[in-house]
This record gives sequence, C-alpha cells and structure tokens, in this order.
Amino acid sequence: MNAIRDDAEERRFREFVSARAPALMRLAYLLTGGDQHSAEDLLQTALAKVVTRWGRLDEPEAYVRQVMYRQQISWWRLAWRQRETSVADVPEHPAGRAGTDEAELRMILRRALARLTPRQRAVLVLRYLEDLPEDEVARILGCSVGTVRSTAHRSLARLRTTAPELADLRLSEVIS
Amino acid sequence: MTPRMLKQTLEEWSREARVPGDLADRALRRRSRLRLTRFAGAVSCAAVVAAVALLVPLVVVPLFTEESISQVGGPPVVVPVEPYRQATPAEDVLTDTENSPPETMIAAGRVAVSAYYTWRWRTVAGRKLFDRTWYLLNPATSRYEKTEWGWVEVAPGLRWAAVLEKDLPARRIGIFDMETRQVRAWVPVDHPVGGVSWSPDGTRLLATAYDDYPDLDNVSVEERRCPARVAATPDDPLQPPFQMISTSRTGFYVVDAATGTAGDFHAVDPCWTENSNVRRDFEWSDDGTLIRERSNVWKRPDAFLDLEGRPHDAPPGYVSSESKAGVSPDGTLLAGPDGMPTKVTELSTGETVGHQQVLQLLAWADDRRLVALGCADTCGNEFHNGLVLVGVDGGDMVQLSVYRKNSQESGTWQPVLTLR
Repeated sequence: MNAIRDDAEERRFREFVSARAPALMRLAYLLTGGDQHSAEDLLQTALAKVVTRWGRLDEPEAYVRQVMYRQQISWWRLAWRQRETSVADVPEHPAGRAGTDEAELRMILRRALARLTPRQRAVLVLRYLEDLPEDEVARILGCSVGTVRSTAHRSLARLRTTAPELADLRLSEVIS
Repeated sequence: MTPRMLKQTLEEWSREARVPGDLADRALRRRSRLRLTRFAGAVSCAAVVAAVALLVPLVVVPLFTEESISQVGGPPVVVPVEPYRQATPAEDVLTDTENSPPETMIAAGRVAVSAYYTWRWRTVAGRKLFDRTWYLLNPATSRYEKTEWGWVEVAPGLRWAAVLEKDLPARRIGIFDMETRQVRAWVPVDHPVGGVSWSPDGTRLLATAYDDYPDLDNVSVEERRCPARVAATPDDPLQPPFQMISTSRTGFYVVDAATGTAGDFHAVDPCWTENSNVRRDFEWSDDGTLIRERSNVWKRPDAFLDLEGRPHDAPPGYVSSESKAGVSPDGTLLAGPDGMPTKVTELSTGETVGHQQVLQLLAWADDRRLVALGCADTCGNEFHNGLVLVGVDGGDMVQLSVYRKNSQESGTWQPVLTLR
C-alpha cells in the first residue's frame, strides 16, 4: 500500500522534510527564478505528492526533485495550445566593458538567469549546478538527450543576448 | 566566464531562499483534502454512469424537428454538413483594435478568429485545472458571444461547430449550428472525450478520449511509466524504461457529422510517442486521410496513425513545420521556424524569401500574407502581444487585435483561427 498510514510513518515524513527542506527549498527558489512565494508553492505541491506515495519511494528526495523539475519545465504551453517560442529580450544593461569585476558579473548573470524560461533555467541548473550528464538530465526531465542539448544551447545563447557582458559565455563547449 | 562562475552564481542565489517551518504540515493538509474529494468524485462518477446508462436507450440524436434527409444505404442525415469550399470573403480584413478580449469579428483573407477562450487556474480536490471560458463567433452579428461550453471547435466555413459540455471529459459531442445557435445533434460516446477537431473538409470529427480531466496541471496527474522502446530517430538514443508520461489520453473516435454517429473507439498506447503534454489531442493530417500526433519535442517530426489507430508512415509530401502556419495554400512556401524574426522559405529550394518582425506565424491569410503573433512597440516584452497581418516580405503589417498586456497572465484571451 502507499501513503502515510500511521503516526510512525508521519514522523518519518516530518523528519525527512525537516532534514531536506533547506536543500529542496534552494532548488525550488532557483527553478522559480527567485520567487519565494512560487518556490514555497512548488515545493509544497511536490511534497504533497510524496505523501501519497510514501512507503513505496526508494528515494523520496530524488522524487521531489523530479516532480519540481517537471512542474517547472512543463512543455505544455498555455498560449496558442502549442509549443513555446523563446524570443530574445532587449538587453537591460549596457554593452560589455572591460573591468567588470566578477561579483558584478555574477549579479548580471543572476538577472539574466531570472529572465530565462522555466525550462531553460531547469536545464542549466541540472547541467551546471548539479553537474549531471546530459543523459541523466534527459531522464529527470523525461525528454530526449537531443532536447536537453538544444535547450542548453539556446539557454546560453539567450543569456548572452540578454546580457552582453556575458558574451564570452561558452559553457556548452566547456562541459560535455 | 566559466562554468565555475555559473555554478557559484546559482549557489549564491539559491541561498537567498527562506525555508518555511510548516512545509510538512502544508503537505499533509493537502493530502487530506485530496483523499476526501477523491471519494466524493468517485461517488459522483458512479452517479453519472448510472444516469448515462438510463439515458442511452432514450438518446434521440437530432434535437431539431426538421425531417431527416434520406441517405441511400446508410443512416439518415441529421446535420446538413457539406464539404468545405473556400469562398471569397466579402471583406478582406476585419479588425478589433478597441477591445480586449475582442468583441467584433477579426479576420484576414481566408482565416477568421472563430472563437477564443480566456483561462484561469482552478483548484479542485487539491488538483490544479486549467479552466477555459469559451467565446464563440456569431456570424450573423459578427460578434463574439460568451458560452458555457467546456470545449469549442468551429468547422471550416464557420457554419458548424463541435461543442463539449463542462466538465471535461464529456460523454457526448454536440454539433452546434452557428446560425441558429442551437445544438443540432448530440453524439453519445462510451469513452469520454476532451477535445474535438474537424477534418479539413468539415464533414468529420476526430474526438480524443481521456479518462481524466485533460487540462490538469502536470503535477496533479498520476504519472505512469513507459516500457523501454527503440530510438525514434537515428541520432536519438534508446528511450529508457523510466520514461514517464502524465496524460490520461486513451484513444479516439472518428465521428461522421452528417449522421451524428461515432465510429468504433480506437485505443492508442500513450507511450507510443515521446510527448510530455497532459492534453495530447489528435489532429487530422492535412489531407484528412490520417491522424497526426503533433510532436512537442524540438526537431522531432510528427507521428501518424491510420483511422483504425495503427501507426502509419507520414503522408506523401509531408513537410515538418516549425510554425502553426506551415505550408502556404499554393504549396510553394514554408513558414517558420517561430521566434523573432520569423522567416518564410521557398519549399523547393530552402531559400529564405522574407523575414518578419513577429513572434509566431499562425496561419496563411493567402499565398503572400500571414496572420501572426506580433508584439507591441519595439517588442521589448514578448508577452505584450496580439494578432497582426504581415506580408511574406515582412511589410504591410496590419494590427488585427489589441496587444494583450501579458499573454501569460490568468484571464487573458487566446484566439482560435479557422478557415472561413
């Protein structure tokens, strides 16, 4: 059977949440582009799903992560009943200049990351924060390796377009 | 700029998250609501089944009192549908740039906004539903009217529409007369359907069946695992057994609109294609001889079934399109891919014949003009967008609708284009 059936199981679930909430909340925060309220909602929804499967999940944390990734990258688009189209935004910042220090670049990069689509951000988090290979990213997101590759490529291209200071961002060639 | 910097940025940013102290309580409370309502749902489903069982023998398909027309060797015609023939519209371009959502008819060349919907998220039993409110064109007044339907699909020619009642999936399909504003016939189905699509000639309907609400948020769907399968394309690796699907789609019916009869139900394996959408409506092939499942994976071609539900090769001359507009009416030009600037290429040579400063190419108004999703001003915000008419060369742009302030926002309207 599944789900939480007694006090002992509920206690174990609470212990799991207590231990892993900080890490999971950090991931939710990134996936939602730094939106605290949406991040809480995302994690809460994923945890509610865990509750219904508690006892038959070998790795509840991996499951929570997968649910959150899939929720955020939902390929199903609301508009036009069809596929998403990524369109470059007008840069907010002046063109790249020599002497921009690393702390400033990280702030620029953060703003650019916040302007990616959820799908693009999810792929970058999996590839560059969690250091996962493409086939593992594809497994988590439930898509093909080719899709992961193309999404990563387009995400980096969009970062460069959004923030010209990041023009030398060539991560897809650095990590394979 | 290095991978290290990207990683550091992500780590630094993530540390700004605050961890609420009651996450476990919130998750447990949601679970309780879910269980209670699922039980209530099971009761109401049983009641519906019972009601349908009582009603089936009494179903009288035509609701009109008009006499049925005899059809030699077949069931009587109850809806006088005729194969679609394109006619020259009286007015080439109709706009409504005053109202959002639109109030008066929008059209350009051979296509019109036949309907549109507004949407919002609704939470039922702890599950998030994408809820549409449909507005349907009244050709007599050239105005849009609010409806109570759960799904609307207007046939080419704007004479008939297929309608489904709320809440989806529905156990009968209505054939709606756009002129009298009445349902002319109800077509009952054993397997409830969540979406319908008219054949290109406007005489048949393809109804996609689901065993649950087809517009659930994908986290609210019970996921299922697919078995391992072979690669779909040469450069695609073997699909592993852990591929998950989150659709409740079960199969399809082909409905003959004139007689108001659904053919056999055809079950389709949801793992047949790689597609992560929850709503996965089938479509007709362009020539109306096959059924298409539109790919939602980049660079992956669409997949096809025959009308019995068996996998089938793509039809001859099939062109994989990266825009909704696809191939021009005269068959010489290909629209897309989408994404500003869009482009149109010559089909035979692949040469670009024009770029357009729009977001998406939605439909061909004629051989030289397209209805597109354009954006306001200099396109600083891609979601501040609306319908425009644009030439293949990118010129002669005409605004057809108001630019919506935020097309991603709850309550915004989404148009449906149909041949008129």
